[in-house]
Amino acid sequence: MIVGIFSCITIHAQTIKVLNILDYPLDIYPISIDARVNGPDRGYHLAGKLGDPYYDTADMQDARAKLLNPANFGPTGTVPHTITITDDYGTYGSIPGVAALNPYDIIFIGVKTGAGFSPAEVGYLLAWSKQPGKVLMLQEQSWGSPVSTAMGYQIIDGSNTNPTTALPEDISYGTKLFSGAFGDASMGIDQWGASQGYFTPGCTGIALAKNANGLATVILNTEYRDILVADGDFFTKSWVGNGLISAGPSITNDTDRVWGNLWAWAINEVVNQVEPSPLVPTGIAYTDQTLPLCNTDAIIKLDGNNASVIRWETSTDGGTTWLPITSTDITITYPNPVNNQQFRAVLQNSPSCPIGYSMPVTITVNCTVCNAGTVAPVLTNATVTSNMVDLNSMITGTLPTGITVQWHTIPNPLDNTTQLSGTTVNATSTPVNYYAVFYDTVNNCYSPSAKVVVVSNVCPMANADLTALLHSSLPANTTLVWYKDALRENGGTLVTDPAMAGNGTYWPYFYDADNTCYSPAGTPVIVGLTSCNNYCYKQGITTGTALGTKVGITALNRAGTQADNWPMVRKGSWIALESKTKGFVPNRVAFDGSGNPVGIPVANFVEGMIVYDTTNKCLKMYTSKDGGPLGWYCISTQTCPD
Amino acid sequence: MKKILLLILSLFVGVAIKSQVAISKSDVTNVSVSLEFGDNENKGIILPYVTDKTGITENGTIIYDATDFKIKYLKDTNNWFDLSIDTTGVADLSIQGDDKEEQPGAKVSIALTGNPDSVTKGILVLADNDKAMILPKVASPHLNIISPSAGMMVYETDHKMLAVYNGTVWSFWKP
Repeated sequence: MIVGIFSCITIHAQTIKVLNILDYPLDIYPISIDARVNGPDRGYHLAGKLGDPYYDTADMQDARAKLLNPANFGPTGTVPHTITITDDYGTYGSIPGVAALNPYDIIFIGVKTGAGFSPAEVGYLLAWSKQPGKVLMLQEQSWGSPVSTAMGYQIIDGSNTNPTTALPEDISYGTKLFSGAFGDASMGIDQWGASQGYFTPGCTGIALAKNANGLATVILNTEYRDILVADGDFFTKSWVGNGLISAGPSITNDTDRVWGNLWAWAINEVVNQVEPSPLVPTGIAYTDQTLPLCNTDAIIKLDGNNASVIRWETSTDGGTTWLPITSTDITITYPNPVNNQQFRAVLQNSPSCPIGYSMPVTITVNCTVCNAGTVAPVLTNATVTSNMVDLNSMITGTLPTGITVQWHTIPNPLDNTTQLSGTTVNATSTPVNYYAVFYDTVNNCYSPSAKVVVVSNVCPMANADLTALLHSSLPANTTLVWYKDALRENGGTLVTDPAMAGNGTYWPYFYDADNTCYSPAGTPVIVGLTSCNNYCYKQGITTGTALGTKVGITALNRAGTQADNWPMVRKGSWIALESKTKGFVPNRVAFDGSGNPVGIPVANFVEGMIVYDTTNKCLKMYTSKDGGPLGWYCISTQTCPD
Repeated sequence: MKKILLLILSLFVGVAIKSQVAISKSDVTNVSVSLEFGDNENKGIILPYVTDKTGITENGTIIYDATDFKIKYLKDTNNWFDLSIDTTGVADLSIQGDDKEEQPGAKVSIALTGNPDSVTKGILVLADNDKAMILPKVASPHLNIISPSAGMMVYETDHKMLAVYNGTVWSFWKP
């Protein structure tokens, strides 16, 4: 564990080891035949013109000083990592293999003219760079870009194409060369000299910055996780003394800031051991249109693509087969799409690169018109004679073909789960809302609904009390009045005593007495009266001596347990039955057409006899009905002995 | 039959009793009576306090439903007819708690012969289809049965009604 902790600290305070590849061996001068650079363009590397008295060529002493300044790169610097630089391998073919490079985190390669690198060396450098956290910093030139070219990005010589400025990808891909730890560089950076390069299109690179002609000058190569720049002297001091990078170790201008941010990015790659991966062209196809469409062209757009559109494709079979649409635009218009038609963009960085596809977008099309309409059914007075109310009696007129009226328990039905099974409902003392809708049987859709309230009287009241119903707040200076007609203005009848409403349909209105005017009719109320029985409950008496119960039949395991004194504890009974799951089953007897029990002679009928009538399915007693002669009657009406 | 005093049938298996039973009465009124009671005291019949009625399927079964303290009878399949209506019933269930285990086979059957009805489930089953019980008869039970226990059922003779008691109030029924 301790080792682990130290290891952790080591990584965060990691010293970044940089290999600077020289132009020729420092100890052999004049230049030997096996140097990497034979021409005049020497010194395009972090050791600048060391040991070269003849050519005052590109000098990177200031760039090097900024890397070694602990205020920039050091434990308390802008980037909390110290950079050490090893200058080596100036002899052509001297890199022995990948293993020799592995101690280093970052390798800087500037312009190498003439011999440059052997093919084997290029292979070692690329293999090394493909490892996680290994960064090649390539700053080659149009006349000598062997490593950039091997990575798929050759440098072409442009002319006078300054400045190089950031593309949005510099932020979206997190490189932040123009907005990183060392600050913003909104003015951009310049290439010096007559040869100002840009990159040919490649397959695995993201352009981070462009020149004045819009051509890529800085590339993030995702296959290697390296940043390539298209000129050797973005960050050199010019041989005519008019350099673009500032003198000394401090970061002061835009070029300094981009230089610092470039290394800050590379160090982040090292510290986080970022793994290279080839770029797969992708993006997201979408539409701004409200779906589903109907008789409208589809407008398909592309977002987040990392490669160019080479064509579009469409599928009408759920993505099994795709047909091409000729367009390289990021927005296409497709006439008359069908339902569930899919669209995707085909993407490619350049003609020799792999192609990729955007995420497809699916367009839905639905031109179905609901023939149930947009108007709720018009309700008229119901025919009411009792508490059984036929709601359909409120619907009059002829319905169009394919349209029915349905009654539901909710205002906006979605399916038949809320539909009433029958249109006759039982009015209860608690008001219940029902909703009428037109239903399109072909397209399975509904119109808006019309609401009705159904209510009965509250026994022992013989009539319903409309004033007890909840209603919305009265507008100022109005009263609630009830009419017996939906069309009050056509000779409607005012309800004079809404607290005593009989069977019928009632329509509420707000009435402004000052101006003698009415609101439109509100939700109709159907009153269906139920007859009230005169029934009562009587408390059991407790005064006097209670009689014990001496006989009991129990299903419980009571043998030998008399502590609770059952059945004597039950009071006032001849016999107590006891079971948690079983009942008392009286004789079950069939009844004949004359209403008498089959098998019991009339002579044996005794008042107070009780049986279950299996013919009529009721508990039947031999008793008197309302003072009449004795007979067998179903027990059906609650009553009162007063 | 003779007068029976303090009879407790604590049942582990079905018991069949001869077809006519009179409790606290010297004999039954006639041959069509399955069960009847004495007429010299103001007493009723106490129904079982059923805490789980889900297994009851025999139409006509009468219970005191201890889950809502109401007297009910099974009018038809899944259709319990509420004879109490009033919801204020109470009952002392403490003496039939979890410590009192129910014997699944416990049953008293009153029938003409042997054990003719082994199918019908009930704690007391009047099995003959040509007889009727006579309810205990009390005049104005709400005035004359003192401290009645919940689940009581009587025939009210003054007004010729069925009267049931839910532990708090009597409810009355007529044709």
